[in-house]
Amino acid sequence: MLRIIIFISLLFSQHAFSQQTAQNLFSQYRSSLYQIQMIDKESGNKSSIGSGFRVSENGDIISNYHVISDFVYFPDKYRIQYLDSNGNTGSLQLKNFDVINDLSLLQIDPAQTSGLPFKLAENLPLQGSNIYSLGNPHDLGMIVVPGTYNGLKKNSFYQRIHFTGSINPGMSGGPAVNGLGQIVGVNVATAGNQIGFLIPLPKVKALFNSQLEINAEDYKSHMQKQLQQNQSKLITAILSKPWSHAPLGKASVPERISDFISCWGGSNASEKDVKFLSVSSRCRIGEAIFLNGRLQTGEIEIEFEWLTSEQLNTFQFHNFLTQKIAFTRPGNQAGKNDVTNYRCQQDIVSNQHQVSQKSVLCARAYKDFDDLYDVLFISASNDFADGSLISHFTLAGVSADSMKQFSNQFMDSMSWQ
Amino acid sequence: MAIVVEVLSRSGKVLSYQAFEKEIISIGRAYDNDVRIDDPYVGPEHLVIGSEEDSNSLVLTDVNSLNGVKINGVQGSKALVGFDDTITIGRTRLRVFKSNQKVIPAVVLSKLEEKMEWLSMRRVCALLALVFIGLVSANFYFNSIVEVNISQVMKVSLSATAAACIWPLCFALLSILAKKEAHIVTQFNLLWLFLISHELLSYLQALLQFNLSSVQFIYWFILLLKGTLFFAFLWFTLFIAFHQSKAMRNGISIAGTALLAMYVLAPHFFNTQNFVAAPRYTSQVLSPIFRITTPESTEEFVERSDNLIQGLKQEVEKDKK
Repeated sequence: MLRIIIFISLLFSQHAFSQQTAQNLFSQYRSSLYQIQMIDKESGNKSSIGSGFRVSENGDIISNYHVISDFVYFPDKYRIQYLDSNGNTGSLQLKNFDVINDLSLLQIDPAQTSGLPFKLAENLPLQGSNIYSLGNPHDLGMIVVPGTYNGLKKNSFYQRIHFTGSINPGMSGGPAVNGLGQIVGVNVATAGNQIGFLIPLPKVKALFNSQLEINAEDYKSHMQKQLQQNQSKLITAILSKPWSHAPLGKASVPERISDFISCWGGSNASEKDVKFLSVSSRCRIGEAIFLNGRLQTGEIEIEFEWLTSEQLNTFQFHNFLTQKIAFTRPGNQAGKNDVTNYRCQQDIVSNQHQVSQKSVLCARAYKDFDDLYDVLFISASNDFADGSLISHFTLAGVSADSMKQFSNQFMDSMSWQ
Repeated sequence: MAIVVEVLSRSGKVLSYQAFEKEIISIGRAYDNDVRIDDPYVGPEHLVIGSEEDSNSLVLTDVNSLNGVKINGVQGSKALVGFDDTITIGRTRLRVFKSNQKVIPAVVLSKLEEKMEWLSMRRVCALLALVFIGLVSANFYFNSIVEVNISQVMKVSLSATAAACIWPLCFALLSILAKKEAHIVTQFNLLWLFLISHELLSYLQALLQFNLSSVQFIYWFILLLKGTLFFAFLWFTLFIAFHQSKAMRNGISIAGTALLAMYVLAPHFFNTQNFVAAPRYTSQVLSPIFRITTPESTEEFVERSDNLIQGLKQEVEKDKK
């Protein structure tokens, strides 16, 4: 009985404590929390908003890259403005940014600040700890969202904190703090109800400590450097480990090419009135790098489909295959200002395991960044009269070298059982 | 020497002609005339034509007609007329001349016409029609991946055949209007030959595009062949339908081909600068039995992507300028 009473009172006090912390946090750091606004110079109106927080007496403010991406692309068209808790507004300077981890470092005039800045925590909290996400969703004013720190997201190439609590649009760039009010991460994305992702402390520290100031004319080359480094790291990570294989119809295909690329399978066995059998496996990295409103990069997709038919004759089957591989969509979103049209090459290729495939390789170049391409490959095997393996991959934002290495390994990875 | 009277149409074509072994003939609406013309504007005794000795001309005399006579558009009551003059009475056009009038020399009979004799055989026509229907049916059948029954196949191939028949029927009709023989079997045979060759070229294109890497080049090559084929088809169709001069026939064929080419090529010359998010490529896959080339190795294929990258780099450079 006593145990139960103690348990209940403990629960109650826990709740009371968290409420108190939330109140404290809000009052203590109110003045260091800002709404970040992108102001269209032409109209004078804000075109988008996010959150940001001050981390030093010198006026360093941290926010997301995507909150200020319009300014990076069009420094002449936009300016960055803050709105503090007292309703004061003023201009912000962009000092540095990290497109890979979606972070930006801004500068406010120190004379305009008051109160204590946020402190960066020493370490990431223990799994299960309460943390609080602060921000400004929907332009309604500052709010605090309590939640749980669930460690770093598993199987992710870009480390992210898995946070149970709802991060809403507009809270982007706001801080996530532990019970002591120290920064453990930055709000970045929501994956649905009650699941949010935060950029972890080390990435924030790295940007804050770099103390590098980038000039407006070097924004693109700064991005270029980061994107090149990242794609090379990513492709090396995928190609350095041997790929495991799994059977798919008559073929043996790569199953999981990396820990951070997750796969699903499917088949049409349950469908009626189809004249062919299809079994497929699809793998995606599931994380993208945001560059601007129309351009995302960093996607990786691989897809295999074994098709066979007893009802279609070989002419009909191959006509069906022709239609099947005639259209493919790119893996990432991109617009006319950012990329060229695709160019393609094709031939019948026989790989090291004597799998013959009608193969199409396409690439389009990024207009702003040297040696970065979106790559797309699709092939249909041509060894059986009544069955074929369709293989497909897309890579977004890789160098020509990475493209060749990956293509080589991918095209040689299929074999017949 | 006889007098020849020709009744002409408005465009100068001969509608009828009569020859008279007489020194003098009368023309009018009354039944006792040598040449009777059923035209309400022509008088009962309208005019008289008489021979002139020692001359190729004839003497025309107006017999006090109400509406008069026009010679080459000019009103007159007495005149010397011949082969080159057009006489208008009422609404009727005539030409009168002596029967010793020289005619233009005969046209050399074209050897081509003899060589094309086999095209007028009905058996050939039936055979070619069957081949065409067979090709269309096979194409439809092999392209469908849903259940197909014979009635569907027949419906598609017969409606395609019926639509195609409009062409030779049109030309046959035009030939008849131009007072020529219709040559309908030959026209049909030409059509079948054209359509069958066109179909075979499409198969050749699929085979080449499946086996070789330069799909663009193959596309243009086959398109050129198809263009030439159409030109030849049009040329022979005109050759059979009408007897125009060579230059005229060539001209019409070239113009017709150019018109078709404009229609086919227009999409290639416009819209090329548009941004398209998805890649455009030709992916022809055929059954392995149609493979006639040795496949490339993976390394060769991937190395070739240098060209792709080079092209993209140039495009970006151009874009920056």
